Amino acid sequence: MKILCKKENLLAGVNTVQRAVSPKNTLPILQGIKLKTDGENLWFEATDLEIGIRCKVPVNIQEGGQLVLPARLFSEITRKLPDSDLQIESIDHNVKLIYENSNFAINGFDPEEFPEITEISSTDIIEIPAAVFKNMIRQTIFACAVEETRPVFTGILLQIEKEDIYLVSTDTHRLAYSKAVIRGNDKEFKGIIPSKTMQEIYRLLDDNEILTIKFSPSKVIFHFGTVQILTRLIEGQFPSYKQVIPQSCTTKLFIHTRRFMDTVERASLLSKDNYLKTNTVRFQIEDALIQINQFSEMGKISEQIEIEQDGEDVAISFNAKYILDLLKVIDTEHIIMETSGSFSPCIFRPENDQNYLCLVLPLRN
Amino acid sequence: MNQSERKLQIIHVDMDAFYAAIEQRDNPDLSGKPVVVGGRPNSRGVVSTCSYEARKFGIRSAMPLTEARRRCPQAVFLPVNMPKYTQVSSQIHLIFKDYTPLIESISLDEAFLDVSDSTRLFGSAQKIALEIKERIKRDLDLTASVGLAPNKFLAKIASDIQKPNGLVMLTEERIQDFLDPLPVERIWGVGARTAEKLHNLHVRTIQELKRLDEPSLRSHFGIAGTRLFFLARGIDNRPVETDREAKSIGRETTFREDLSDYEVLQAFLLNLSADVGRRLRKESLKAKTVTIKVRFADFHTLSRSKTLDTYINLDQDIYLEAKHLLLELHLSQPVRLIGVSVHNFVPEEFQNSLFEPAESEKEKLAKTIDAIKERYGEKSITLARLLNLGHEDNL
Repeated sequence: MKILCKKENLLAGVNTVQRAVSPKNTLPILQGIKLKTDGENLWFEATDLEIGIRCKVPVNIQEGGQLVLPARLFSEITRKLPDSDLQIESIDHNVKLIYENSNFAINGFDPEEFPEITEISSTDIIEIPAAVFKNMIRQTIFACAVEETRPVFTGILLQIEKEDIYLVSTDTHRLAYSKAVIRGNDKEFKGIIPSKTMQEIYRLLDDNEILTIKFSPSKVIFHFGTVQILTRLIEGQFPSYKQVIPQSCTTKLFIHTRRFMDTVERASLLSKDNYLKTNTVRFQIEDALIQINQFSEMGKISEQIEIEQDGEDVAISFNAKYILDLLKVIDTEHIIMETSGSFSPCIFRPENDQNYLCLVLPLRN
Repeated sequence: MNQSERKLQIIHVDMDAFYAAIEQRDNPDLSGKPVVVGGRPNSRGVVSTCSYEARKFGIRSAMPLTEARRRCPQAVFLPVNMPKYTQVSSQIHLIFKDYTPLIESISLDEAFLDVSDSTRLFGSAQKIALEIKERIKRDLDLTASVGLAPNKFLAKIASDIQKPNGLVMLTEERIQDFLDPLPVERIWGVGARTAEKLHNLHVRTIQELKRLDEPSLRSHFGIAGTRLFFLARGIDNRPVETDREAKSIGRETTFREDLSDYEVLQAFLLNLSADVGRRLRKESLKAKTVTIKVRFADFHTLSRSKTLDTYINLDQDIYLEAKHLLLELHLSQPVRLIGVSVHNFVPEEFQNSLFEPAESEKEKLAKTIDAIKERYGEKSITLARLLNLGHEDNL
């Protein structure tokens, strides 16, 4: 292989695929980034077998070929190269980066060993504006479980049903649900996408692009711009989430989002260091006020926020982190909080928006 | 300076023959004599600590007292005076606290100190290490062995290498020269079994250990292999953990006479499991790993552990695992002691699951029984099966 390019071309490719490299994988080849010529383009590829990322970059190809370079070394040298014209040459698995009057040689891997990031042969395709999908990821990804004991909860459910597309995530203590419309769709799909994949889509997706999602029963591929992300699905049954979303409530509140967030943040300063590390925040809701009276060995706080209240008074405790997580992704000036007593799941949603909600279970005392 | 660039200075302080040294200090008649702290020489206990004079006779910690007496009949045998040792230990801690708040006590006689940020106030870490050692001598008339190094693993080896009354400081440049010739047994976590496996791989010294790469160590020792790989290179990222939280909850009992009946042993296990379960619930914790310990008549001791997929704190769940572990053991001789312990904790969830019932009937039952015992005493309610253990058990 022999190509001519600029540092920025290489850097763009490396930065795009790098997070799919698994530095600790037992298969050494997976610690590599694959470069492969195709017409006027150079494809960059990396995979940890769960997620595979490919992207193409225009370069001047003198002689076609493919090679696999150790990702870490390749990305570091790329960053440190001078901003000059570059030439990449390979003989067998050995690669030479030629710049100015110098060169840097890297021992590569055998490209034949690199697993193929295959297209999926499915005609099930939908298109959605990037900005919409990105926001759906942002509003759900925080509720995924971190612990890997129950894998289904570490991903986000992608559900496509006629003209509706849903993302739903839950760690069993809280659930985030986001919905959007895809006009004219008649395809159906249901699968759990690893949260790492969603994170990469969020990171790489540009707001002005159109995202194409192509799905088969075991794999999904996301196309946008010059990037393709192929992902394995998490096996297992996502719980039937619709059943746990309450359809009615006994107390409905209308709260100023920013003020609520600031108050909870201050209160959690006192709760997160308690010895149980429960980070509890307790709301006393009565007479159109939320009162927080909290103390620990370190100090105490008492605050009240004026709200609009419809329905019964209630005292209810939450993990403060869960409340802050959801308040950070709700962009409207006010939020609606719907509860049915101290022990039932509580719904938080933006004002005037039926497409998003976050459900949080209170803490029992 | 960011966290990763911050150069760590860790001191490990290990008191020399702590209990015995205190007894010798407080009773000048004992100085220069073999002293064994543990109890009466004809009792069924073991040596807790012995003076360096006693060590010359081959007496070691954890040796049965009867054996200690056989090796050195003229030794002075003393009971364990825990309140006194605890008091001295807290005096030592007061000295530590003059230099850093980052203190991790391993036991009464051993602690790690992170003095990385103390150097601006007190001078170099070397100076601090020396001062601590001198103050323990001057104020308390006891000797300590002190190690100073860039991490806990190295600090501990350093304090151990010139015992008693040692002071070893390891600088970055000297680490590998220092480690290379040491036998692998010096590495934290390498016990008899791991050492034997390493010997079979022709590895006796740390230098030889470095010849094995991470994947092959991993294939032999699992996750512990990765740790060995790094420790052999002097790399250890464990921070000094202050206010160490309990890492395990356990209970064990030595029988009045050795037992070999599985049925009776199981009843004891159930009793111990119930106790462990109750303590877990009292601390609002759940545990993932259950361990049993069995000591045979000849003092040969085995322990077996199982790590579960879920976290538990119910008596029956703990007992079930403990029983399986016991049944998997081949009891070749009567049992002298049996113990149950649990570790790998998480806080009991106050947070329910959206998809499961809030609290199972079994959990409610356990909590009710706990509450009854709390109010009406230990004997107020128990399992019928444990009734005939009666007062036989010396729990």
